[in-house]
Amino acid sequence: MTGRGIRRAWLIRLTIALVFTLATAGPALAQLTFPGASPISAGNLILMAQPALVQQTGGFQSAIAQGVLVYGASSRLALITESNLLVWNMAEAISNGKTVRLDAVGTGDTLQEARYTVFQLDGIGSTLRIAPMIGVTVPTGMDNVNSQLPHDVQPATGNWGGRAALTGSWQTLHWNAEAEIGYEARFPGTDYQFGNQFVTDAAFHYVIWPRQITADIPGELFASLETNFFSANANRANGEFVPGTGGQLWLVDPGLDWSTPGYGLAITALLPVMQTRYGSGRRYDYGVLLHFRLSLYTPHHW
Amino acid sequence: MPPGAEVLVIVKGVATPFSVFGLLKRLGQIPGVAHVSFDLSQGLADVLLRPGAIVTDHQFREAIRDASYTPGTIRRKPTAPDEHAN
Repeated sequence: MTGRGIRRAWLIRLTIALVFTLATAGPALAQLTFPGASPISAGNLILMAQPALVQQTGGFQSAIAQGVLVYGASSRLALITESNLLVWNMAEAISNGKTVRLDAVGTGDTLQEARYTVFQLDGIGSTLRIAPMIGVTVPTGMDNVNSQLPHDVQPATGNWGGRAALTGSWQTLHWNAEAEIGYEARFPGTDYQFGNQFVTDAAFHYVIWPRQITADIPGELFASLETNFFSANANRANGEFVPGTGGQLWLVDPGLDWSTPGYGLAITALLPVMQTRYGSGRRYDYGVLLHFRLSLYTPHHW
Repeated sequence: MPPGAEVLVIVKGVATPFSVFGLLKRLGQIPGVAHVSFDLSQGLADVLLRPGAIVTDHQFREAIRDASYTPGTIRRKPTAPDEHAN
């Protein structure tokens, strides 16, 4: 690389460091209101795809395609695999007075969780369930696809992690409510460590069609309102805090959800209500999330 | 051939269309079951058996629990007489 090239690269990184901050531990996605503690039958296999687009100030955009696989291992135990199949982060930087667009595209990390129902109260057309969850984040993705961009803009974290959560669902024929509270920790051992994160969510879904639940309805249309709160510690590089990372983010997410026994479709807006960053930098403008669900069945279960 | 028996089973805990899928599959997997439908508003599974098939209450309850729900009352509708019988 020539002297001019080295200076250009350094200027880009400096500009990005000044202009761009992202608490990657903060979400691009609304936390799943599904499955929460919803019933999952033994042998039930649920495939979900959740593409999302997030816009932040300064021309930063993030597009994430998440895949989720839920398997009913038994009537109480569900295994959940969430993987960011494709992450595309786009940032703008200023180089020699010109705006340059930089991309970091690749696969993201995978979260493997187990959910076990410990409390269940069933009535005709209703259920109340509580389930703890425990999981591990596996660094399956690409954490250095573009060296001109900071580590927390890369598609993956490069960190192993653990997650513990408690989730509850209360479902009736005309509305559902879900809530979840959890903590995600990143294990030390790499030169760049993302901050640990506290997460809590609540969601409410109300049936807007049909008005009367009858024996032969093909499906139901829900109006949904979800809220997510994230509080993340700052990231560390070689043990030192990385300025402009970490903080709190509170989202409110209105949406529509069409659900049938075999499949589901949903669209949700991700709207920030409150956000603070440890240091100045880019802010979350808005996001949009789509959700596709397909239910399958296998006779194999525990 | 006379039609199979019809069994009405109350199932508790099913509140959404999504939840119906696993229940239908588990009940449909019981040997001897020809068809299953579910009325979400009443929590009622309507099970039609194959002619001559015998399915016990225990089999129904086990399938419902495997589906992650709670079985309620089980009622067997009288079988229609064979109109061709002497």
